[in-house]
Formats: sequence, C-alpha cells, structure tokens
Amino acid sequence: MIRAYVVDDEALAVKRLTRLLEGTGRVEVAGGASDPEAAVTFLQDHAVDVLFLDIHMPGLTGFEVLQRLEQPPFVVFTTAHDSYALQAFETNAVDYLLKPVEPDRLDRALDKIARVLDKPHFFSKDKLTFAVVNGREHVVDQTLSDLEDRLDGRRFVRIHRATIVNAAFVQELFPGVDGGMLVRLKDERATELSVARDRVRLLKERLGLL
Amino acid sequence: MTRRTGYWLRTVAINAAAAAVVTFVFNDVTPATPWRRSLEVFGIAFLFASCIGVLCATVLPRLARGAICRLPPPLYWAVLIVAMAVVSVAGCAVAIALLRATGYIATGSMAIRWLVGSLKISIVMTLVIGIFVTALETLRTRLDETTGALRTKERDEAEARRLVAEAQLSSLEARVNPHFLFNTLNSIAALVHEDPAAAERVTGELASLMRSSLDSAATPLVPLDEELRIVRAYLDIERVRFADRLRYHIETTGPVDAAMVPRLSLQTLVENSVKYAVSPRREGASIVVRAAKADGRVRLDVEDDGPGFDAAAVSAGHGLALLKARLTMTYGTRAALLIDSRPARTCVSIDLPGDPA
Repeated sequence: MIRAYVVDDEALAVKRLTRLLEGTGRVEVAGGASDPEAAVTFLQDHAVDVLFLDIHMPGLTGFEVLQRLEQPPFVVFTTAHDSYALQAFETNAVDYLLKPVEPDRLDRALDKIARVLDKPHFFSKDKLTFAVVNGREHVVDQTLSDLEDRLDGRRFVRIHRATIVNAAFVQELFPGVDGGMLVRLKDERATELSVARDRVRLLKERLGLL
Repeated sequence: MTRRTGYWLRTVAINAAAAAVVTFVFNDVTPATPWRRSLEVFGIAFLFASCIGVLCATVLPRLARGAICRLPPPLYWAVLIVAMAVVSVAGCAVAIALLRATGYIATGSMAIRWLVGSLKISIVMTLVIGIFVTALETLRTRLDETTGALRTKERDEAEARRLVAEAQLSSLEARVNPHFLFNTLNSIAALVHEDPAAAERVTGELASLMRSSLDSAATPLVPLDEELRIVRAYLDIERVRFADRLRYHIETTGPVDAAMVPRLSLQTLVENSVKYAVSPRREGASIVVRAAKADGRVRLDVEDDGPGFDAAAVSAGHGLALLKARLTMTYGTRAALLIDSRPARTCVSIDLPGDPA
C-alpha cells in the first residue's frame, strides 16, 4: 500500500482527492490538510510515501511547503491551471495533475510511484544507482542518498553505503561467515546482501525484530 | 520620372504651346508663310515664353506657398495676378536682352520698341496660362489634403475598431479565467458526492457566468439587476471554494433594477477583491457590494477589508485597466473608475451616467 498525504487550501478538494485515492485500493491516505502549516507539522513527524500538493495556497505555496521539509517524500502537484509545470519539474516532482483530477491520470501517477516502491533493493556501483527488476539491472535517476531521503525510512533501509533494501522483501536475516549479517530477499534469485555492522541494529528495528 | 523633372517638362510643354499660339494667332504666320519664317517666329516666341515661363515657374509657386498663402482668396488672387504681370514684363526684358546680346535685335531703340510691342501679348498670355495653372495647382493641393485627411480618418477608425476588438478579446480571455473555471469544476466534482444539491446549483451558476462572458461582445450593457444576479452567482461559487474566508453582503439603494451598466463591470470589481483580499489570506476578508442610483447617476462600489493594492501598479492587461478602457470607450469622460486603497479598507467604485446615451 502506498501511504499518501493530501494538501489543498480548499477542504472540498482534499475530500475529493482522498476519496479518489482510497478508491484505487492501493493507497492508504495517512491524512489531509487545508492549512499548509499544519501539513508541514504533520509531515515532519510522520513518514509518507507520497505527498499530493496544491500549488496555489495562501500563506505557503506548494513549493514553499516542500522547502520546509527536510526529507520530502515523493511529490505530485495538483493545480487548476498549468502555468507552474516548469517550476514543478525543477523540484523533481513525480507528476503534475490538473484539477479536477481524473482517475486515470491519478492511476498513472500512482504507477510511477509504485514502480519505485516495489523494488526489492537498490544498489550503487561506479557512481550509478541501480534497481533490479526481473533479474535485470536498471539505472535509476536518483542517487542512493536521494532515495534514502525520499523513501519512507520504515520501508526502505540503508543497510550499507552502497545498498538500500525494501523491508517488505526481506525473507530472513542471518549471520554471515565473517561475523557480519546478511539479508536474504524474497525475489526470484533469493538475493543475499550484506549489512554493515553499524546498520544491523537499525535494520532490526525497522523490521520490528527489536 | 521625379516630380521635379515632370514639373519642368510640363513647363516646357506649356511654353511651347504658348509660343505656338503666339506664332499662329498673334503674328501673321499662315500655312502659306515660308517655313523658315514660321520657325523664326516660333523660335522667338518660344524664347519669350521660356524666359517668362521659367521666371513664373520659379517665383510664383514660392510666392503662392509662402508670404501670401494666408490671405483671403480675393487678395491672394489679386497679388498673384499682379505678380504674374510683373514677371511677364521681366521675362520679356530678359528675352529681349538675350536677343540684343546675340545681335538679332540691332539697336537699343529697336529693343525698346520690341519691349513695348510685346508687353500686351505677353501679359495676356501669362495671365491666362498663369491663372489656369495656379487654379489647377490649387485644386490638386486641396485634393491631396482631402485624400490625406480621409486616409488619416480611415486609419484612426481602423485603429479604434482594432482596440475595441482587442478589448473585447482580452475581456473575454480574462473572463474565462482558467484558474477560476477549473477550480470551480473541481469543486463541483467534489460536491457531487458531498452535497448533490449544491453541485447542481453551482453548475447553474457557473453556466450563468460563462454565458455572460461569451455574450459580452453582443450586448455590452445590461440592466443592473442582471449584473447583480451575475455577481451573486460568482460570490456563491467562490464561497464554496473559500468557505468562511469569504464574507459578503450586497446593498442596493434607489431604482437600480433598470439602470444600464457595462456587462461584467461590477463582477470585475468583486473578482478583484476576491483576488487581492480573500485568496491570499488565511483569514480571508469581508466584501461589501453597493449599487445606488441617484441624481441621474449610477454608483457601484466594492469595498473590502483586505490589505489593499497599489493603484499605480495596475498593469495594462489587468482586469481593472481593461474595465477602465471599456468605460472610456462607452462613456468617454462621463464615467469614472475610482480606487481608494488603504490598509484594511479598499474601495473601488464606478460612477456612471444614469442614461448611457
């Protein structure tokens, strides 16, 4: 399930988008706000996978809300009129939806997010970041640190300088030969990844083992 | 051929014609006269004509355009005629001097006799030709001026038409404000599930507004009660969006219903208030709309308690600037758009004649 949060200065718009998101069956709406300040407060304490953000709001604009968040999640902007498209893409948003939001455009945005969230693990090699899909390595735009920032820390754990693992894909955690720990993943190849010694505790916490 | 070349060629032609007339009419040259003699007479006549002609062509236009052009016609013509006479005498003198110099005229006393003899014909010919040419020139100048004035008028009319079309187009584009339209549609989509009756109502109100925008070219003036209906529809829609951030009430004074006002004029003022006072603030604003008719004038005011705006900063494409242009086009100086903006109290007003004609 994708965890989402909705911000729009019009309460009716928050209600509608929440209804549409929950209707897809693959989104859990963690909350919504029509006050951008309240949204910032919530998001600083709670992790979500994606933020649906209106641009034109009094007090803080959508862009300003993002700037206030240290670790902003993935973002989908919503607006009535598309004069902000360029600025939106400069912020590395996942997508840009025009209001009234149409269900099929919403699905496409959710697909983009799911593509990232469904990865078993990410690794970096030779300054490139890769995800493995169906046994093949695909280059990913973001750096590992980027992903670590954006992805929900409870779901994705940085177990190593060069590896991020998706907790949902962890099959088991077991000690390795040289005293370190290894994770075995639930993917087809039963990939095994080593966990840095100083990250073991974190991983166990995130997996709920501690 | 340049104008100057044409001008001088015309002069030569006239001189030749004049010479021919003098030759055959005023001298005893007939078809029976030997051709050398005819040619000689013609040559002399052409010399006279040329001297007079050149002098005329040089002096008279300058005179006509210069010192005397402001004189009333009788005086103008009198001066010209006297000038022509003087020039023709001078021309004769020059011709005779040339003939004397080349020896054709043997002695000084013969020269004087020539001068006296030629004066009458010269003056008459010069006057006839001179008056004719001057009249033609005057007619032509007047024609040019009229054509010029006509073209200027056509250009001004085309410009005025273009401005009207542009204003209508801009006002149409500003009317069909995309932000407003899509936000409202989004509200309607939300209301369908939350409050279907409200969804239906807002749909109707949006339709009213759109229809008014699209009709704006057809009937630029509408009765004030119609304009108030549009304003109420607009405020109701915005209240769905802004909820408690928008507070308003509408007051009317006097027999306002039938008063004619520019379509969407009051609505533009209200929209402006929403844009500057309600939309940017979390606490929103209160708007008071007033329509009054008294002493043959109609007064529309929209007052809000927002932060105000700088009237000087109203740019050309802004709704208020366009409204001002429309008012000028419709009423000239008989209508006014007044902006009184202070912190916490902004009032934009339109003052119109009660009778649009």
